[in-house]
Amino acid sequence: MKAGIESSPIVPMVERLAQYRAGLAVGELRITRCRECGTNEFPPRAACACCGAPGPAEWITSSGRGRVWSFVVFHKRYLSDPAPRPPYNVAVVQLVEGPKLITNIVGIADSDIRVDMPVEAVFDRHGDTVVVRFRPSTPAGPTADTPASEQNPSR
Amino acid sequence: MNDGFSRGAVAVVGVGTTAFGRLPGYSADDLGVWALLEALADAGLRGTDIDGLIANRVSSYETIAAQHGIQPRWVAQLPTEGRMSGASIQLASLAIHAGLCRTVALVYGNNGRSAGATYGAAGEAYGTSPELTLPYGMTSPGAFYALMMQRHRHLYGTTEEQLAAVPMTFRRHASLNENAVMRTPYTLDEYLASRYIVEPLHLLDYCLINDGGVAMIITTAEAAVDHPKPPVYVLGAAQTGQLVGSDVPPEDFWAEAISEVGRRVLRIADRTRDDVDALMIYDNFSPNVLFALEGLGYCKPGESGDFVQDGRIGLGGELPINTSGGHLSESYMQGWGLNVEAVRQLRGECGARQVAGARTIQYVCSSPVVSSIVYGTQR
Repeated sequence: MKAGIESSPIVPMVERLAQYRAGLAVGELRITRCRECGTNEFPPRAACACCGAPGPAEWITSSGRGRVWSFVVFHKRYLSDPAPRPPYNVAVVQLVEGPKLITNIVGIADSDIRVDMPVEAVFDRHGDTVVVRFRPSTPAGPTADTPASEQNPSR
Repeated sequence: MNDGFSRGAVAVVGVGTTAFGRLPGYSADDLGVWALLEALADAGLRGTDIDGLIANRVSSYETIAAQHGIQPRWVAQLPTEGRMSGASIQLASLAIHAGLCRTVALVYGNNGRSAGATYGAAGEAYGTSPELTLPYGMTSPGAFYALMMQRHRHLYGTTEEQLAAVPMTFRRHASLNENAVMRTPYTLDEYLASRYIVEPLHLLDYCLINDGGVAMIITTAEAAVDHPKPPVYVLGAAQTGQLVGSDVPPEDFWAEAISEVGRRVLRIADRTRDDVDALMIYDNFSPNVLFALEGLGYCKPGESGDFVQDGRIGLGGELPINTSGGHLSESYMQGWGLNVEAVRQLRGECGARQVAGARTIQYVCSSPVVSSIVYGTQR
C-alpha cells in the first residue's frame, strides 16, 4: 500500500500555479492540454474537464492571441493596493486555443473596448511578479475577418 | 426518476422572518434564533417538537439547537452561498421522505450589513482561483453577472432600459410590503442616473446588503393538517450543478441547466408552466431574472429583455415575479425570503400584494448550482 506525499496522485495547486508563473516570467502564457483527449484548459486542474482523464496534463504555450468574450468596468473599490484603482476594466478573454482567462485590457480607453475585439497578450512586470494582460491586435485567422472598428458596439 | 421525491409528501407548516434592515447588536445566530421563534409560533410548535435541523449562514447549528431546546435526530449545515437555500429545502424534504426525521426546522441568519460585508473584499473573492483573478481587480459576484449582462447585450442587443423593468417592478412590489427595506418606487431616469457599481450594472441592479433571518418548518403531509395554518405542499424539488469552468461565466447563461431543472421539477410536481401563478427568482442581480426566464423557456434565448416589459412580471400581470420585492428591494436573504413569500402567497396572507387565487408558485435560483422548488396549495 502506498503511503506518504511521494505517492500522491496529484500535483498540488500551488505547484501547478508556480509552473504557470514560471512561464509568465519568460514571456510565455502556459495552459494545459489533456494527454488523452487533447482538450486545452486553464486554470490547470487535477483531471480533464472534458474526458475526466487524471492529470497531470501537459503544459503547452498559448499563442497569446484571442478575443474579448466580455468585459466590465469597475467603479466601486473593493480591493486595497496593489489591486487596480477604479475605474478599471476586467475582461474575459478567450484564447484561440480555447480557454478563457480573467484579465485586463490595456492600450485602449475602457470606453473603446468591445466584445469580440481581437487581442494579444502582453506581459507586465511589477517587481518579481509578472501578470499577463491583453492589448488590441490586428485580426488573424479565418474567424477574424472584420476590422475591430466595424464591429457592432456592445454598449 | 423523481429525484427521490414523492409529490406533496411534505409540507411547509411554519414560516418566520425577522425585521429586515440594519439590526446592530444581533449576530447571525441571534437572527436565526429570532426567525425560528416566529416560525415555530406560526406552526403552533415549540423547539422540543423539532427532530430535524438544517442551518444555513448562521455560525453554528449547535447554537440554534441549544437556544431552542432542539434535540435533532438529524442535523446538517450548508455553506453560505445563496444557491444553498434551495438545496437546503430539497435536502430537508428528502430527509423527511427517507424517514430520518419528521419535522425539520430550516434556519437562516445573516448580519451582513452590521458586519460590513461587501461581497467583494479580498477574503470574499468569487470563484475557485482567487489568486488568479484578484491581481486583475476581479472580485464580487456582481462583476460576474455584469460580465454576463455585457455578453447578453452584445449577442442580443438587450438594453439598460429593458433591464430596468426588473428592478423597477420589484421596487413597486416592495412598496406594498411593510417589511421591505427599500419601498420607494423610482423612475427609469432615476434608474439610469444611479451610479454604476460594476458597469454595465447600476447600483439599483444590485441586491441589498442587510441584516435579517428566515426560518421554515417542514413536516409530513399527514402531520401538516394539524397545524394552525393551511399546509403548503412541497410538490417538487430539483437541482443540478454546472461547476466545471465556473470561474468564468457560462456561454449559455446557464440556460441548459435551468431548462433541465425546470422540466424536472414540474414533472415531479405534476404541473405545467401554465399552472405556475407566480415565480420567485433568485435576484441577486437583476440580469439573473432575465437568464432564469430564458432558461425556464418563458421566452427564447435573447428575448427576455422584451419579455419583462409592459407590466408582464408585475402584480396584476401575466406572470408576477418576486412579489415581496425580492433581494433587490425587500431583503437579501439569499433565497430564503423568496421561499417564504411563496408560502405566504399560497396561504393568501399577502394583503395588497396578494396574487389572487394563487395555487402553484415556483422558486428558481440560477447560479453554478441551479435549483428549483414548486409549492402548491393542493397535493
